[in-house]
Amino acid sequence: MTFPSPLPAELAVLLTDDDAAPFWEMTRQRRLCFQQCSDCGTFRQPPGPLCPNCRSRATTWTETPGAGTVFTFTTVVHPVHPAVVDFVPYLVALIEFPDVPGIRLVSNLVEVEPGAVSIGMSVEVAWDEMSDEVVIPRFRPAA
Amino acid sequence: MSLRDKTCIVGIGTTPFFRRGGSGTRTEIDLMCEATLNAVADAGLSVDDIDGFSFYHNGFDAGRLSSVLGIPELRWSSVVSGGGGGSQGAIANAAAAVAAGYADVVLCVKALKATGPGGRRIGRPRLRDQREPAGGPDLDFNYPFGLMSPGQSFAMMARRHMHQYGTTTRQFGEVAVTTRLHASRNPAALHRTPITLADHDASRVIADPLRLLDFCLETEGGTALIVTSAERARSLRQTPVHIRAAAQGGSGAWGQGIYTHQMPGDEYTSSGHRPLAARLYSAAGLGPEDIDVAEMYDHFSPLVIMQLEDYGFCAVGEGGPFVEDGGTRWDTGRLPVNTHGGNLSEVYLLGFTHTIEAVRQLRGTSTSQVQDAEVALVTSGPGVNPTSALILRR
Ligand SMILES: [Zn+2]
Repeated sequence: MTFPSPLPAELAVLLTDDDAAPFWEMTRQRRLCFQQCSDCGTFRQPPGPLCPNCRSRATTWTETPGAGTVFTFTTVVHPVHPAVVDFVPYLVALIEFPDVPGIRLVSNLVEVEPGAVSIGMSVEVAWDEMSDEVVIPRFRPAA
Repeated sequence: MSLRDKTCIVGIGTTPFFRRGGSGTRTEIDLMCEATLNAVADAGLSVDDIDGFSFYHNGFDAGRLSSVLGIPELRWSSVVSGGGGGSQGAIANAAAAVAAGYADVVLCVKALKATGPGGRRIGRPRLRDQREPAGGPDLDFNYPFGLMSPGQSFAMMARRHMHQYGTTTRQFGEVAVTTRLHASRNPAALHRTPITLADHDASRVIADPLRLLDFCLETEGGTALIVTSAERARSLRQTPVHIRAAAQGGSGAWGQGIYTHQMPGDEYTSSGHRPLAARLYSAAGLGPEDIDVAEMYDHFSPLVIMQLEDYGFCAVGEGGPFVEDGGTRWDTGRLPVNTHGGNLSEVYLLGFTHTIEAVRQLRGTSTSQVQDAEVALVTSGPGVNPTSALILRR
């Protein structure tokens, strides 16, 4: 299912490198995966070449169903770039996942009014196809 | 090995302060030179005495600056990595270079232009074709979500602080009101009309919970300081201000802070200065009870509250009540903070204006003078790594 994107495709042009590329390759398949150390199990975000806990280079991409909670959020009212003038206000939030401990994902909250958002609320992933190349994970209140 | 009291700040200088666009066609290096000449004159030195440069925030081409200023021989030059977090670190590096014998008289200099030659609006996002490699692919985890400016990131940290500790937007407002009160007493400050909590509450929301009056100014100008040995300082024009101790850095896990938002545990609701505070006090042989006045980098009002906590002036979570009780007012507060009007009301030039005000306090020449001020804390931009801080003493 698709919904009107809260933000312009102009923002979703990726500069990605070899470490981060798998994240975006998997979001194209509507799979949310995070980099996890194959040796000690520590997750890391943003992606990088080494586990900061045990310095192993062995890496797994571990999929999560994307059921998370809101750690904090802001309603962006002032457009800091001309590209978003027609898109304010929009909600930016940090999402934590119980099955992916130790990391957070910057994302957006959609299908919800700012006044109805609270820290700790349960959310689920809502895929947003910006182009053939780029699919962005955003979040809506959990059903 | 300790740097304690081995070096001094002996000269301070600025250009006039300008609102955005106000410096017109004047170049960045022109502003740097004017501030430098003023600092050298303040110290009772000559430009010919300068043999070292200390920079931060991407620095400046040392070869060009040395030729334009007519430096006889440049013996040392260095840049602290990162942004406004490096301001006090640049002074710390100058002190280290003098103590090591690399240079005798180090110029610490910074100019900022938001427009015109060399100008760039701080905090203004640049989309893909304008992004810098240093920001790199990590910004892929920000820009597609519309997280594109420091103010938006600090808004999320402020919201979490409110959630965890009961901090209120009224307390953010108190920071803005107190800082403006101090600016109203400083003829050089760009915003001098006093404001009230009602004015703060009526200012427009930029990124909830932060309002316009929680944000620093967008301004232009140049700043310079001269660092030399304590021995040489004794024969110069001004009361020497000793660099008692310095600290730079932050937790490794802090990472890129406000850009990646992976700060660990309770550090998310801190300024990132907590590990520096412990090292700084230890190096100084002093504690929070010894600080007479603090000049804290105030790009956003909640960060003053977090720094009060991180530097131990109150318990973690108690920074809001500390400011609400008037704790930071210059005349009656337990700890006068930003007695020049700070980045919120005086001018925002990425850090040295706070050091300059601390020097004035210790010389006894501030426009909001703290009686008998002997020891001052100065901090650099929170939220990034490295940040940095100094303790200065008369
Ligand atoms: Zn590991």
